[in-house]
Amino acid sequence: MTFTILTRPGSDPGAAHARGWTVVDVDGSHDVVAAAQASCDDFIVLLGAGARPAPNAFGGLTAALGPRTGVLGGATLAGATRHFGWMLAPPCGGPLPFELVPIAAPAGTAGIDASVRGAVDVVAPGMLVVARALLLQALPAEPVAALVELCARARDAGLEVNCRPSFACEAPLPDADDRGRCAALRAVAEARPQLRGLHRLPSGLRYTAIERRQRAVGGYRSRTRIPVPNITILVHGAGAAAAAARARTLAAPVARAYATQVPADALRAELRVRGDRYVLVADASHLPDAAGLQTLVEALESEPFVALVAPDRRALDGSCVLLAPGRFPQHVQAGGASLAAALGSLTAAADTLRRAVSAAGYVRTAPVPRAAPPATIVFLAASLPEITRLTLDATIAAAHASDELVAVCAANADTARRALAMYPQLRVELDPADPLLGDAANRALSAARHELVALVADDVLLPGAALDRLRAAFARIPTLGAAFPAVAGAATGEGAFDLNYADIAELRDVAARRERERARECEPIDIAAAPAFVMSRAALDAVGGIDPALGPTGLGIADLVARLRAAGYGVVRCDDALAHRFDPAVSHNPAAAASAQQPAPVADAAAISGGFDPARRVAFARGTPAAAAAPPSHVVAVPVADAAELERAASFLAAAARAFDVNSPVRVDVLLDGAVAPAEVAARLRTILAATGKPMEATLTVRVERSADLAVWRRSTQDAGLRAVLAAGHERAALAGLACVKAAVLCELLEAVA
Amino acid sequence: MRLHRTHDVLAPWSTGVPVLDPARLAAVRIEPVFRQRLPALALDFYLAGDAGDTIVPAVLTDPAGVIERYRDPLIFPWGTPGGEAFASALAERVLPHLESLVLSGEPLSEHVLELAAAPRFEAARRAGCYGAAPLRDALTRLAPYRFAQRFARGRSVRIDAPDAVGGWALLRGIAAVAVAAGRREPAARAWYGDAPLAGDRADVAILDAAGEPHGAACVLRLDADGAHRVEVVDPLPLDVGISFDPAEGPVRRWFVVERAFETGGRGRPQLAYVASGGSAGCIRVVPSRADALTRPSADTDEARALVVALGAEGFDAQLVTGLEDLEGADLIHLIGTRDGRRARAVVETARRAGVPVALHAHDEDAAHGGWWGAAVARHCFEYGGDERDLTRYLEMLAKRAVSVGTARADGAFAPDEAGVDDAAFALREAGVVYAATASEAEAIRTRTGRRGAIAVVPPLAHLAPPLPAGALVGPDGFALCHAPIGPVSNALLVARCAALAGIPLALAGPVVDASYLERIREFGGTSLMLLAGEPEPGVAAALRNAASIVVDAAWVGDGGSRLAAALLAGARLVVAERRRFEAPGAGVRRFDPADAAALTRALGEAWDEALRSPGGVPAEAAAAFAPTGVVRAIVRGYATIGDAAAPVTS
Repeated sequence: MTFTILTRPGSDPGAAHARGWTVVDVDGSHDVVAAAQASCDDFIVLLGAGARPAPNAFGGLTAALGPRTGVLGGATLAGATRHFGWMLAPPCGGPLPFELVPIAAPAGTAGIDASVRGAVDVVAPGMLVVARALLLQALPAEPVAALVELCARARDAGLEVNCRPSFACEAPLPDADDRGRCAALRAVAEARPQLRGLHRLPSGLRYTAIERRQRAVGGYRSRTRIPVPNITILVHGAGAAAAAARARTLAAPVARAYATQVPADALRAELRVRGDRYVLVADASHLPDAAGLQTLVEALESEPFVALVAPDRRALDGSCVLLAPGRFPQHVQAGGASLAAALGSLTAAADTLRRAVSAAGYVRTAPVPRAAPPATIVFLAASLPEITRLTLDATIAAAHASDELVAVCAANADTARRALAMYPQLRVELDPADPLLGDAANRALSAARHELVALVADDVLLPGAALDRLRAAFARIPTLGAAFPAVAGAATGEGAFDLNYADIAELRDVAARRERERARECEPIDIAAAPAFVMSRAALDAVGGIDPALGPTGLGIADLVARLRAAGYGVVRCDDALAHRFDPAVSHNPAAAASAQQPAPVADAAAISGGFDPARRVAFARGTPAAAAAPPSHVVAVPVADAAELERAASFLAAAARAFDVNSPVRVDVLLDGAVAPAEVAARLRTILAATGKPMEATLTVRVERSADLAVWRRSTQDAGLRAVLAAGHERAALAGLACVKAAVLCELLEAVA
Repeated sequence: MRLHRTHDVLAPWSTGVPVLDPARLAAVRIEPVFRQRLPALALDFYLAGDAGDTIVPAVLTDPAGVIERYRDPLIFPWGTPGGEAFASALAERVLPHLESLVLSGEPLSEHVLELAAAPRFEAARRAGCYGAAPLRDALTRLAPYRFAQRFARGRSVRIDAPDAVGGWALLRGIAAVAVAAGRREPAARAWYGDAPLAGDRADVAILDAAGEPHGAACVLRLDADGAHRVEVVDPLPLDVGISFDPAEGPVRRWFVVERAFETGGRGRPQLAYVASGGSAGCIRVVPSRADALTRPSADTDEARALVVALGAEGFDAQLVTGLEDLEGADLIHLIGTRDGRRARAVVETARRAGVPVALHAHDEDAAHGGWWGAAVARHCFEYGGDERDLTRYLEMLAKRAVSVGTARADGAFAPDEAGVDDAAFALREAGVVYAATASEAEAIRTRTGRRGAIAVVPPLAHLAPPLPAGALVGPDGFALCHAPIGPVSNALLVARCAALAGIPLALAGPVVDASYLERIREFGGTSLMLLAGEPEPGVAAALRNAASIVVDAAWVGDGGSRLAAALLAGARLVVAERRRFEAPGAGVRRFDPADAAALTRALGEAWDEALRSPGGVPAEAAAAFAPTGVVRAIVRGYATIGDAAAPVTS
């Protein structure tokens, strides 16, 4: 077979010369038409401007061509990138009926040739083989539009358009001066109304990858190629078993396919853990083939807010529905006795949550806009009284009349209790044991009456309308799980770094300015740690409360946020709400002090895409504490007078917590005989106990008490019949004579007890 | 309330009493468009009142933002009346419809959401009025009037042509505009406002093919042919709105500038090149940039001027681009080191052939700040969606706090193709290096370790006799930015700052990056005059002659040839502080090219100065940049080649 080669300026046909093929220089579409008319060959090779065929590019070319070949393109190496052509994807809102999606890969990408070989919407520029008949009419002058037109012509003539990567050439980098391209594409689209975008990826990639539009910080959106999430297929109806067997072979990402006689229950079971995966529910008679499944997947990935797709409205009864479970927040359940009812509850939820149901003929029921509902505000009081007063006043001023106000404080914090009693609108919840107030906070959260629940620690000042702005976010974003204020300098997602204020008065000014300038502006985040936020009650119920092992520390809040994100809820930083967090050294807040000792929490993308397992839900109330096996017989005295001794005590306690637990007849008494505050000590030591991995109620018994006169303590232990020992390095005159125990040999103490 | 200052055509307006009651929202026109090459929706709000209407055109939104709601989805145009509450209330009325539209997943098409009876809107839509009709139609109708802005400023204008009332609405802010009796279509008057009736006489006449100019000094004739034909491109909103560059799309209509004001220009010193003659030898002048001839910049001008001058001296001088063209040369003169790899290849080729190389350095140590700015600055305009985002990002740019990938301001950055090390090699190894200033020479020695001769020679201006350019840019002063249109030129920041300062800007040069050109049009305001494509040398000379100020804000410069030419044409200079350029006796305004505020300030100061004391070439500058002296210095430099001990000359 011979070819006529049409060369654009700067191109070099190379080996084609040696093959004796006719080479014609062309410059412009009319030259191409004239050359095609003059040619006697069935196929014409077009060389783009500056293109040079790769060695062996023409090898086996003849065999690749047949009577059904319309256009055959190859791979064009430009710079460090290989271009294989374009797909015509469905548009996402633009004025053109398609979006031109490049198919390209860095040179050297393994396995790419196999993925892109075969049918393609538009071949790459550079070098292509065209059936002569397709060139007898002028093409658009704009090179890319000419390719789109040429390939459309071929398909309209019933011919194939394929990519053959070994048919390769080198070409200059695409010119950034592409003026007129879009207009030329519009002209092609107007001349060919049937030209519609269908797929983003070529067929070889379509079964292994998807392109998902993702939002970057600040709102810029781009598409990222990722592997196709796993698909689970539920088949029901007559012949379900056989259909399920067939379904397993549909595509590589089909992780599981099974037949079920109770599809509604099966669907609910599949939705137990959601995450980034797909569930296809199909009647055996409507099970799609591989291409049909891919079409559904592409429809689902057309936008990140599409939650459920079906070929048409009728299929939404369960005959063929593909859904993305992770796009339904955890509290949304597929309720109903029948499959149709279960799916109906999901589509209704989608309508309410502003998720798209993509099914021809489906008519969405628009939800009624609503104002932000009232909230239950849980205020954690554990800081110095003057700080508590300041932040509580701000919180109460921001509360609405319909809000429920609950303050939580330690049962033995008399000063705080007296201060809280000054506010008659507060219901006070006491925590008898936990200095971080985790238990009582969970109790208060679980008893919240309203749709929104605000948790505000008293070392966080929410000035002005910050609380209102947080609540308002829930009215705008129906899938929101939690809204955090921007916190100056915070290391996690709620952190804001473009802030400067010298004092509280200036903070209020800055906050007021942000409320005005950044009104209704928020940023989705995956991690946050500030103990001041608003949650949806539904989300809270779904994922549970604050992990009692962590309390409302940075890690505790971050853990809650991680559960919310995994459960499909949005978490945002509201940039129109500014909060100030007092330094732990100022506030003396135990949770803040504990947070300072913790590692910085980081977002775990894999955990988020893995979904939330309801087994991880944190109960609001602790289980019954394990009873001590025996009352303590030994007590270890750890006197602490200053920060250095606190650190020494911390390492001693870490060893003790490893050696003993609540069942051990050993108690550690941390005796504060200096300037260190009990709250600071409690916060420091609590994280050590939490680090053992045991539930807090199962860890070693530790008592922190202020003891100005250690001799009194010594007498009391003697009176109680306890054997007192002293932690090495913490010697005091009043405790002289007590046996000293080193951290490294604590086990010997246990053996002695035993 | 989110605002934008982009795609300016007409700011929100009212006819009669402004309607600021959201309940009076009668119609919303919705059109899918491209904004920065991404799908977006453009909305026009029409509020119908009893004693007038209010129109808020060009409200922009991103379809995904309508669903996500992480921010206010609607971005209103600058000048929207009524404040935050009004905008929110308008949004509440339209957002449910937009939500349904986007969630349906159906292809979007231009349509109108009718909320109440709107007969005036309907009539305006039928008449193709802006704010009621599809943008493709409305912008095409208004395009000639946008072009006419350059002639109309501060003058009387008479319109006797189709869409005259729309033209009046477009021009009324800058000129005394009136409309001929037969052109005051009721639908358009009800929509845009009551355009006054024109008499016969006016400075500027905008006419249809048969219209009578009545002695107007400037005449635009719509839909007619003639010498100065201007073509209106079929718009592809928003990226291609009103455009007169036929490369951007098919031509939809055209008009001619039948008569135009011509400025006399400023007095120029007689600086014709005086050749000594008597030289001989084959010199090949080769620009470092591979596309220097297809996308000319200052280096191209300098190379061309040098070739002409050397030819006059008796040399066989040629401007070449390919390495293969260097064969047979007795001396190779390399212009610039922008493409370091090419510069090195030239030096190595010359070394193999035993041919000496002279090198115009054009060195600014671009790896420290220049390439960074070229890489990141446009992202400040593209990353955020509204005016506040842009302001914030530009503030970050000024603080060098923007980074994109490996492009960071706190270290060296250059793209591979810049070949920084190769450029240093060329600067080190060339026989003689020409630096524009002593500080540039010093910097070259310090950075590259060069020991050979460095001659300090002012840039060589390419002086061409000016051609008429009144039909292109009008008779009034303007700021001129003449450089290839792409991220390196920083023209986007210039356009933004000029628009904010209210200074008309003419932007001329070959297009390197079409999307960058689109951004310039997006942010450049209504006074922007885009002259895409390299102007002929005579036209470029005329532009410099007519310009009040000439701006060079490029992140990476191509030498000072055009600045020298502008100075010799009497223009005030506003120059990025990176540029190695000294103009004795001339007060050059310097600014940090990353700092929008500094650039705006420099533009404003130079503009005011030009208004107060237009034109004039300082004698010291004329002496310094006189081509005869510059060429002699260059030729003297040839004589130092091979002399490692040659002193720095000036």
